[in-house]
Amino acid sequence: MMKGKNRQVKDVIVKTAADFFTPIALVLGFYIILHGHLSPGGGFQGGVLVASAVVLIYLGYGYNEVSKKFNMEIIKKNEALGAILFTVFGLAGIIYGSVFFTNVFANIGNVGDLISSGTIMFMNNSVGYKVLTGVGFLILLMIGLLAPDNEK
Amino acid sequence: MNSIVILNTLVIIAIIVSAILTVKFDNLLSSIIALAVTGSFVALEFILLHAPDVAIAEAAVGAVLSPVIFIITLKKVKEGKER
Repeated sequence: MMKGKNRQVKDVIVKTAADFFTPIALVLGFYIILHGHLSPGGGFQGGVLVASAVVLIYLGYGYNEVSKKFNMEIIKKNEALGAILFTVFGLAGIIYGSVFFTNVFANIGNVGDLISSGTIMFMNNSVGYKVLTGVGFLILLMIGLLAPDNEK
Repeated sequence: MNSIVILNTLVIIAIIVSAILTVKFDNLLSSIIALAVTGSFVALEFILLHAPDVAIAEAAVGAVLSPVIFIITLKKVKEGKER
């Protein structure tokens, strides 16, 4: 028991760096997902950035804290939800337009606004949601393999 | 010579040197860190070639995600050897 407790006391520098960089990674990742149709980057890039915040939390606080905060089953279901949302926005092109992936609300807003690209933005967001949950689940799975047996 | 060309040349030399070091290192952890350095320099080169879109993906995947997964795998393999 004492040995397990000593293992969790991480270095102060690593903990402080994780505290400092986790919000930056989260905000930058969500910004890149949200502005995927306007600026460089998109769903995949922002999703990977958000998922790398999981690594930072693990480096700072260890597997016990991470597994308390995230539920693996819910993350697994949410990844499928991202794929379903992407397909639904694609099928909206058949229903309201002509073919699969037709842009439906294309004429709203001025060029350069956040809401100016119709369904492209929502497709980008669903790709970002799928990548964020998928890569986050992969990382959680890998660091779960690494955890000692008494912490599982 | 243009300064951008010199910077490009230096970054490409750094990519090649760190890639050779990745293969040459005997210690596997050093090899993984050299691979991460290669990923960072490749991301820098993508920015210099005006491809920020690819650079973000390369920086996230090549410099953070794949070294972490490699380090976890290395730690797991070493645990198996001791048993």
